[in-house]
Amino acid sequence: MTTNNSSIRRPAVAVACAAVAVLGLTACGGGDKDASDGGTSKLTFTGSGGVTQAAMGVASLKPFAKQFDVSLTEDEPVDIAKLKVMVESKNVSWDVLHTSPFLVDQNCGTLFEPLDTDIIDLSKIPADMVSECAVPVAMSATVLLYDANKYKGDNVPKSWADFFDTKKFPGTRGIAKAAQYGQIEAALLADGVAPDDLYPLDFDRALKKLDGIRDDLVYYETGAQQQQQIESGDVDMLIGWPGRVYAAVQNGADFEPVWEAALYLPDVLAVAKDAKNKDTAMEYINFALTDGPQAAYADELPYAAVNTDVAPPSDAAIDKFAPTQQKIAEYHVLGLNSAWWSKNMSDMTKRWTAWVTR
Amino acid sequence: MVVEEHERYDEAVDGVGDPLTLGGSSVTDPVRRALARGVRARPGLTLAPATVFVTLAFLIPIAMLLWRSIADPEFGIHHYSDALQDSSVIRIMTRTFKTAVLVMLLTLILGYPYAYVMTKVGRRMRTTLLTVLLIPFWTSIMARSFAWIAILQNNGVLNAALSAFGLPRVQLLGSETGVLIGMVQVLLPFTVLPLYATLRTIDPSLMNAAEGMGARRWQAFRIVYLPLSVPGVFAAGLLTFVMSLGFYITPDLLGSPSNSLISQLIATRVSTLLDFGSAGALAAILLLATLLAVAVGARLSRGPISNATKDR
Repeated sequence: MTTNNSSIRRPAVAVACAAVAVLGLTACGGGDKDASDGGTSKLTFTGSGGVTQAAMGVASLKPFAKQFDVSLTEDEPVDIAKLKVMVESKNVSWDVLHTSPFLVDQNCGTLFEPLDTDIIDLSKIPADMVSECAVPVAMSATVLLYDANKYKGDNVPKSWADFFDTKKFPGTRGIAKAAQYGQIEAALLADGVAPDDLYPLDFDRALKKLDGIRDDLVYYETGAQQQQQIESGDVDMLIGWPGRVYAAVQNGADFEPVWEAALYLPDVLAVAKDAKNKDTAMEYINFALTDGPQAAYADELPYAAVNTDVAPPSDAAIDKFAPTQQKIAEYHVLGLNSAWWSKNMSDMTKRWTAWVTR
Repeated sequence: MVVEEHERYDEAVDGVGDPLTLGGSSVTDPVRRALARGVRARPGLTLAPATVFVTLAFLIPIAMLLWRSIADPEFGIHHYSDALQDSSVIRIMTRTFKTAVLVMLLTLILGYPYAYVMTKVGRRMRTTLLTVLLIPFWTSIMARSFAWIAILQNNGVLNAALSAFGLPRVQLLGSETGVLIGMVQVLLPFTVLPLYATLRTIDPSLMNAAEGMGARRWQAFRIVYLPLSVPGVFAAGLLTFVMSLGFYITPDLLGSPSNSLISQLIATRVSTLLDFGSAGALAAILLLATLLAVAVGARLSRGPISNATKDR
């Protein structure tokens, strides 16, 4: 609780400084921590819209704005190309971005600000998930999910190998249109590559494995599309995002996750380069990682908390689809290596495009 | 030749508005004459707003894009040589042109009879036909593409109808056929309107004369009417073709990656790779190829048009 208190005070100082700056007064080095009233600092949050952004609103954005008297603006969707144009034209209107880590790691320092670890308390966040510019805020995953109305009894897919076995499990398979969402890793694991030897990815071997199911593939670009394809019966199994499949299940679809050797990938928060409200952005990130907001987000949607002190969600339906720390340990869930992808994105995307557009 | 075509197009397009009374009937004649005098006296001034707009909204961005394609990240033509050596770029570019030709042919086949009927029916019916054509045209392209998803998907409207008649289901979402259906529907108004504009200027008595001189109905159509309609066919076809080349949303939502067109490749370069330079090079190659295709189209159309005009 004491850490919470000190974290509450810092934005107050920032708020006061901003107010003073607005009034054209100088010097803000003082330690008058009670000057929390009056003036409003600003924060622009950009997420991917839909249910995840709504949940962020409930779990951390609105409480943060209320508690620290911050005037909040929300935007969507995250478009890093747009951010690049903003940064180049020196008119950055976004502060905090909620996105996947690939482009953040790749453009750390050029499009994103390094995290201010004086403001952000990382003591409860697994160190291997934090990078210089991106801090995880929720656990997402890439998982094999199958239609339990089609595959029943003992004859259900249990591993990545089953996903690639169209004789034993005939039916359509959903995968991402982009290369970096797990299908390459899944193909290699199915082909017998040991988890420890996964990276650097043997791309040609993976494509060869994918050749075997090419005629049964259906592609999605977004989470919403996964949901639509599940609800319309266009896919029988998919390498998908359990958070979105959970939403389809809420709408009546009957899909089951296979957690064995699934891939986890955290959603991250990052601060835009030259953000107008950089300090408030760092304060917000710190707030979003604390126990309360972490538990609240994990209770809204099956994106598990990254804060190791937070217990698994109480709702069993949500817990089933959430990549919790407990599941990661129990089912040998692997980390999708976003740092490797960031370094090789251009080359891999071109090779993937050559295969997928054939 | 081109000027003449434009005049006829403008004149005919004015006519398109008249069933809906879009003409400026409230403007009195002296005012109109004065305006016309002004236009004639200072053409430069009247063109200024459009010129400024086109420069700001089109030429400057194009110039920036072309600049980036040779200067980002370093100066040189490497983006162009990379693109032209990349077999997937060539394949997708070829597919884009093939799709555009198919869409153009399909819209002409569907649009010609529609435009023809529009010239034959009474005022009220024409207004109805025009409204039917324009209602989807006024609907967002996103909304229409999503509507097509609802129709074409596995348990969608189409498959429900097919299985109600005991017919086998078809997988159209994610197929080339699905993409073509969506694109043809979106582009049909762009084909029908210029076609109608030309067809309504064809004097119906020419057909009567031909029949009077012993031609059968089909012969009269083939020998007299069809050649006269060729300029409209070319104008409509070219417009549809060029618009097809830049299609993004419809193939992205209704097709699979194996139907993807060049715009989708450009979008990936921009949004996933933040590679504005190579995206600019691809866009420049597409622009050049489009201009070439238009030049060839204009060249081809010259023969039939001048013949048709001479015959008149």
